[in-house]
Amino acid sequence: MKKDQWSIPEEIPVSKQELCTHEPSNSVSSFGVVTTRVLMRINIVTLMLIIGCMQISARSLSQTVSLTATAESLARIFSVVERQTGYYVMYSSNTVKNVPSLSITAEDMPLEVFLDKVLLPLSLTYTINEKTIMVTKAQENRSKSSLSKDVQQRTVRGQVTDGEGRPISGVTVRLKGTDVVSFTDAGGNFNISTTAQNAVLLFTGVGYGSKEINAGDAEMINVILDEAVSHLDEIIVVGYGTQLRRNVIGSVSQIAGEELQKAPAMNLTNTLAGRLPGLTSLQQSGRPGADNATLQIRGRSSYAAGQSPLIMIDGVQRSSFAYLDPSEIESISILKDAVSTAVYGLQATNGIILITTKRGKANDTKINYEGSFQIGQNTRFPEFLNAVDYMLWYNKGTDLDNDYRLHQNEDPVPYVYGPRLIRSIYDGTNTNPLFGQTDWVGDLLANNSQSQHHSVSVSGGNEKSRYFSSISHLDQGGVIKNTNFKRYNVRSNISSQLTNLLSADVRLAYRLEASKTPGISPDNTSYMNPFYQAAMMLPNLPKYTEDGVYTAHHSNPGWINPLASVEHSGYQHRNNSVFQGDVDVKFSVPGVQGLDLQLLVAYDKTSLEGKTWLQPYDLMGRSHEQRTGTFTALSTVPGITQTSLQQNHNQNNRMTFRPYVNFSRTFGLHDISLLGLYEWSKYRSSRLSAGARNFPLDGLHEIDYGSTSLDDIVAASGGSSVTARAGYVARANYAYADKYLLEVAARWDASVNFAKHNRWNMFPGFGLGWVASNEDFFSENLPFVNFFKLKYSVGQTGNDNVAQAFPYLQTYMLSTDPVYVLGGNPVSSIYTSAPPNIDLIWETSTTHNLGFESQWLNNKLGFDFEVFHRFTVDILNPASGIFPPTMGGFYPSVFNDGEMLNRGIDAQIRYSDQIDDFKYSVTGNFNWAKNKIIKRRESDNLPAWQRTVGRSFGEKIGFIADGLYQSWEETKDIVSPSGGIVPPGFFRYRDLNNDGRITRADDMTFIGRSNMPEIMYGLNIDLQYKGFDLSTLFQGAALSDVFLSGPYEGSSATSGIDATTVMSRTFYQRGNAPYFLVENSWTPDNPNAEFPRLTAGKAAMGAHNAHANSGFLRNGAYLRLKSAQIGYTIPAKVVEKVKLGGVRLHATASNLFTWDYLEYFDPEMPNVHNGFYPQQKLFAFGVSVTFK
Amino acid sequence: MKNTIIISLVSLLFFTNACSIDLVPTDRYTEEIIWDSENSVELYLNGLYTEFRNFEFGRFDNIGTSNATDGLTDIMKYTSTASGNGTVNILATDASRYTATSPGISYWANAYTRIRRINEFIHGLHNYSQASDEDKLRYEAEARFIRGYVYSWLARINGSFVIIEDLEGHTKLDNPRSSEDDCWNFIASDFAFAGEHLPKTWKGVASNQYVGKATKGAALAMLARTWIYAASIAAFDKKLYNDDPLTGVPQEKATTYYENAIAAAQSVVALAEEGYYELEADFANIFRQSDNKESIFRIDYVTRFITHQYDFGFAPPGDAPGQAMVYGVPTAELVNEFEMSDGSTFNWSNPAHAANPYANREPRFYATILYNGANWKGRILNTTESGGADGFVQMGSISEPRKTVTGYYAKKMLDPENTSFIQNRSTQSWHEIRYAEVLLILSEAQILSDRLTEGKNTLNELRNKRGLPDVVANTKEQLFQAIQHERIVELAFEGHRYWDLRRWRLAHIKLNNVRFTGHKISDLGSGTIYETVSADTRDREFTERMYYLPIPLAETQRNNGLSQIVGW
Repeated sequence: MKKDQWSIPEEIPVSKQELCTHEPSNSVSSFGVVTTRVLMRINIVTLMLIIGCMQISARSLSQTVSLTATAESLARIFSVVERQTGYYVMYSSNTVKNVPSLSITAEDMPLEVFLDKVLLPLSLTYTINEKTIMVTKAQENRSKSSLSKDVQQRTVRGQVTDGEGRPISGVTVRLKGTDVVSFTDAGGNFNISTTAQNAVLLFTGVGYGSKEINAGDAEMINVILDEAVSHLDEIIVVGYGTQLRRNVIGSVSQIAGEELQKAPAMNLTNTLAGRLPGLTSLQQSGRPGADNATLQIRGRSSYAAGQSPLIMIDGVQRSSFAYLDPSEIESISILKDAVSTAVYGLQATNGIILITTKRGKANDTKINYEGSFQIGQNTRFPEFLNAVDYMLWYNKGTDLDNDYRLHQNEDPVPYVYGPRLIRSIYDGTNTNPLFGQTDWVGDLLANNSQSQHHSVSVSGGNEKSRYFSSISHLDQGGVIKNTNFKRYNVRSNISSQLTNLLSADVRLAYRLEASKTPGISPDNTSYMNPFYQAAMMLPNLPKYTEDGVYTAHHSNPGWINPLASVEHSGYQHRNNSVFQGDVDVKFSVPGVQGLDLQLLVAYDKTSLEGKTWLQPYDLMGRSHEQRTGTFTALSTVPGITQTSLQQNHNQNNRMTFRPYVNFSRTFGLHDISLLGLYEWSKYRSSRLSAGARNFPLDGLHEIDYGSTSLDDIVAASGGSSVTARAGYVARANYAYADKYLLEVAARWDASVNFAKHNRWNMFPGFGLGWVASNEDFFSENLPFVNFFKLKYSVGQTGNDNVAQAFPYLQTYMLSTDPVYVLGGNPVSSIYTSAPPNIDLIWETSTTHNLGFESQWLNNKLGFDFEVFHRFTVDILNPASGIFPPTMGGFYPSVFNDGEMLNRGIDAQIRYSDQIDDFKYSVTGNFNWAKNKIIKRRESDNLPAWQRTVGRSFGEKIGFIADGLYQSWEETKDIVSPSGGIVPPGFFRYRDLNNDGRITRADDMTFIGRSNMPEIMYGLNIDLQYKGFDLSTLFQGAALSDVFLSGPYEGSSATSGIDATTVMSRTFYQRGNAPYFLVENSWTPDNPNAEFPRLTAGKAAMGAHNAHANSGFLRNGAYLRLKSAQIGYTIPAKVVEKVKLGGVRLHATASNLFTWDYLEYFDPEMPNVHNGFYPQQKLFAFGVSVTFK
Repeated sequence: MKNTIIISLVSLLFFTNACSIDLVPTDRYTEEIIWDSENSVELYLNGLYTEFRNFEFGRFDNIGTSNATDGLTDIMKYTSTASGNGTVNILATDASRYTATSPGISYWANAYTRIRRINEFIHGLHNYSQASDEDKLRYEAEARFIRGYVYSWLARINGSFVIIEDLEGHTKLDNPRSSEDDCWNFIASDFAFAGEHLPKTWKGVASNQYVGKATKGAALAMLARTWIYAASIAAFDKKLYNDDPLTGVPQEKATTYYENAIAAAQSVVALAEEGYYELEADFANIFRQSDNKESIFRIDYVTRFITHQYDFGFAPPGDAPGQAMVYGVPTAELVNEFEMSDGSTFNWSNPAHAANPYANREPRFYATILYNGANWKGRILNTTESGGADGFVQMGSISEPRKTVTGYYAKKMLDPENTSFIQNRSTQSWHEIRYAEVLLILSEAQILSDRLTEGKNTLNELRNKRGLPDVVANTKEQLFQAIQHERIVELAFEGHRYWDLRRWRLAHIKLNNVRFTGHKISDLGSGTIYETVSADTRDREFTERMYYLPIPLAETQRNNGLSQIVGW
């Protein structure tokens, strides 16, 4: 950098004293810490930093000068100063042009004394900013006026505090109309010199609203700043850096950590719904430890698998943020458009979620305790028939089945439950030990869960080093017995300024996640899960036999008892320890203002220990329809025939290595920042599993104590995998006069998923912004618009997500278990992978983003709006389902195939104001994303109405049901698509190709939307009056559908198979039935029913209704009161008496009300289920205490 | 100084190129090593053999859970009416359940996945393997033995299928079907090749570690089975049941194909004469003793690792109360089929027979059927209506009774020693083809190609060994009837009956508009009453077009070269 190419603003009349005390405004940037002239003597520091292969040595630096100069040029003297102090001296050649040679002697002279001695006689002055000494000409006239004391100079002093009385350091205090600024010190104190009679001071601090105070002639003023009112001055975390919101061109939404604490969510992924424009979430399970929401940023851009956003925690790719503690979070931001995500290249297409953890604040030492207690309930679960109603409805079902049988020339069957039996159970006179009354569903899940959460954090520091340390604990109970989740989080974030040039951030975090479920896990996807058992279990059984053993019912899948399954089936424990550590060292290159070299090294390790103990348990079984005799003693239930123990240990680790260069500087009206970066990461995982079975003694569940019989040996298994990626990033930001903004970014990225010749690619991004409100014509004509920024970006991002790594290699696998017996011995086999695809390349998306951000009416109203358009090509499409079976799977597992368009809008509207002590703010978020498949390989023989081209991803295919058939006459010629006779009360499927037959091949078409909603919105209302605050979040989704019946999801054996369930076919698989279903099923008396024909399973009716069809489709739209929190902050005066910094009490409710189209289930339920762990309704009571 | 730092940091950026991303998978093998060793070739072949397990114990996995095709016939009744365990009952009584969407009985997709693996293996063998030419032939023979077997199922089900004989064929989107005649010939060529290049036995080779692999005898027995099927289609189909241009075998080829069957069977007989095979003296022993002389190709099991659930599926429920599935039970029609020990026909109208129906029956009866009063696992079976755990229940009164609906249980392949099959499952061997079947094929081929005396002698050889006198039959018609009878009793529950009725084109007669029966037995103390009750709640239904079942939709939709079989 040549020193004569830039100039110093020289028009401002300030004294040397002022210049030295206060920085010129143009050096205030978000990137540098501004220091004042209070220079301390710093001892010699030698730092050796050894990280990996890197070694940096720094020479001794001092802040004193010793020299003897005789007739030396000023330039020579400055270079000596630079060498001795490590400071960098900047000056324009113009400034020193006519300076004569100098002679001076100094010995250990403090730098400032030296500079004063040298420069003052030359009519030069200087400022020191960080390590830079800036030498400028002292203005003749100004110096004179200052010296002549024509105008009286005085000093205004004071303290700046926040609403809770805590001093705020680093607040800029500006004398309005001038560039005279000062900054508050650690104690929040400032002093500023003014000559004005009526000084108007402007206070601005990052994270705080600005405030204007007319100081009048006061010498002492205390100012209170409100937090984060100024939306535009928020620091936004973007890829590999931060930006001020007013300068952001990309599409970025951010939420502060405090917001997250307004909901009692146990899982961070569940707190984001409705709070961030552009984010869609779907939470399909409420089980503790498994209640992650599926997150999507701006919908789906590809029909390939794996469309979840990339998660970066403190700048490092990490798998999940669900179990971070909310108290650790500084902010969460999501990057949506191409210019902001381009720096993440190959993994960027689905958007990025950036989580930043907290750092300590200098001179703000405090201890904070958050504690809360929660009570949870299921949001919804349908009510099932009680014993008497079950038998009455079952007999009614038998009537209808006999009607069917008679029409098929089959003999009718008698009622299973006679009136006398029903009567005896109704009036309690039943003496048959086989019968009783039990509310299995209620006993299983109508409980309250109890949870508690505690966190303690200590934070603070000084200018040199700052820290944030926290420890937290969540104990989350489940409504199902023996189901809970606990986590313990520890974090320590330390930032340290090692020398003037070197600083480091060290972040260490550890957490333990421990989840516990019964041996038969209460998950929708697990075999015979307790919800399923409860729904299938007959209510006319006694809970226990006379001997106190649980009864069992012989349902089609086997003997069941939901309560025994959660109490006696054993357990599944899962302990996941996660360590995440990173060090980010920054070296400010001396001599080049704004140039930093940085190196980030991170190492994460996750270690999962699982232990599953399954044990058979005793049940006393009554066969289906058995009325006499005795219970059958059962000692082995299906799925668990003997005691068994399985222990597995999985570990994975990721190393990240990232050197990078940052340069950012302001040259007059030009703001420039540049980033160059290399990133390499390697991910290894390995697993080990072993087990034992047939334990001779119960009690000790350790592998050593299993049976030693050769027959009982469980083979150990293990394996590992490794992936790596590398990339180079370059980015440039340029702003002119805060009006015209430009950002260019690119990443060259490589992925091991592609053959060498296809491995690298560049992903560029480009953005433009125009802050129209900074134009004179704008502020003159539209004074009520405080800020208006128009922005546009375009760029490419990639996706390398394939189901199995190395799809370009032909590989062979050895079967993990033996497959056949030869020579009396079990033998293994080798089999080939799918043929390789060496031409495979990444999927590429091109995204355009156009939008504006605006602030109106004195910044009270804000409105941001963006529209995006993303076109994806070369989609990584798994090939199955395209080729005929005769190919026998001889095609690559994945192809670059097809194109997809995704477009939509995000918007946010904000309004906040204050009426005396009453403050309120309303924030509304809205996003809509709709995708469309443009091109996709599909069979030529598919009828037009089954082609996915032109449709959205995830649309549901099925028959169109035009109501229900009403008479045998109507159905006599109808052949069901699954074969078999169609009785009245079955769905009337539309014959789309009019060939007179209903077939899946020809007559199914698209009937519903994806479960993932297209529209997601939220409305957040915050009210505050004196010590009270109320925060409510309404959250809704629209344009989504769910199936009650149709293709199963989840468990691998049944996934994709069309089926009815106990929730959609009465007494399905010999189960019970929910009230809503029997009462709304078709019978001759209820011809306009919602559900098909009532049946008790006494006739072999076909699976006609099980085909996916519109009759079982429900609108998944909903609006719910996601959370409401009321808080009370005890007045500072009161708490100060007990030496506390602040106390806040709060009560919160979540998922309190839901408005939707599903009366019996939670609208976020999975498709086609037999009962699932619903979302939880939570009530929480908590306290937050700050000690100072 | 600062320059040093800058230089070192900048140079660091370049060092980072050493951070490699050229990785090798650690969870799979790559191409280079696979064809190197004999071991890996054997390992590959092991996987191919697993295909036989889909058909173990006569089951047909692709209908539903453990459903045997015998349940579609007159010899076995499945007890459940619910889909899943009772799918056979639904298919047996409702022909409308067969559609191109859900073909009812289908093996298509699984078959071609296996065929591709086999073709991939043969391709690798020819192109990459370092093995000696002799070894290559043996490896290929094993692979083609399995390929022939897989294709033979497609021939039985669909008649006309897509012949894919090399890897190249699996890359095409327009493979046409071949004529049924070509299909059977292709299968025969695979078995013939295997018969030529496989050893006669694996015993004594490599410490017996390959015992259980295909042998010359197995291939020739399969070849005989192939030709008897092809000959039957030629003799009985006569294009009477389907208009598809590719189905059916020209009638004039029947003689040749019967001769082919005779030749193949006789070469197995020749091996028997060399001492490799022999009819077992004790019929029950065939199914209990894994290594017996009658077994030509069998699947073995090993506790814990490779087991099956035949006992779980078919044992009387008293063996494991509340748990045993009782998928299928023998019908009264099958029980009646067993002759008296003197070779005379059993008849309920004979008062002596009716009074004591389970006495003095031929030996195979006692090895095949568990009846009321039979001794089983230390108890006297009580299959009467009030018989408790093992007792009778009327078909249809309970959707999944897990008890007999005919008064009988299937005994033949149960392991009488196994009392812990719930926990430990079962390990008795399954015999895919045995010498008795070869003799039955030989006899049938001889009779139907008018070599009546030879045919009769062959049949008598089997009957005599089973403890029965010579057959009383003289005409071709009578002898064909005798063959049908003998196949029922000899091969009961081994998964042949349904396919036999189909190839003889008798299914639409014997399995249509009829209800099969059971015996509801009441013990009155003073005497026992045997009441014939319907074991079907609906009439059986087998329509003529079912002789050629439809090709799954996934194929006809995605393969441009193939049309659905006419009629579907």
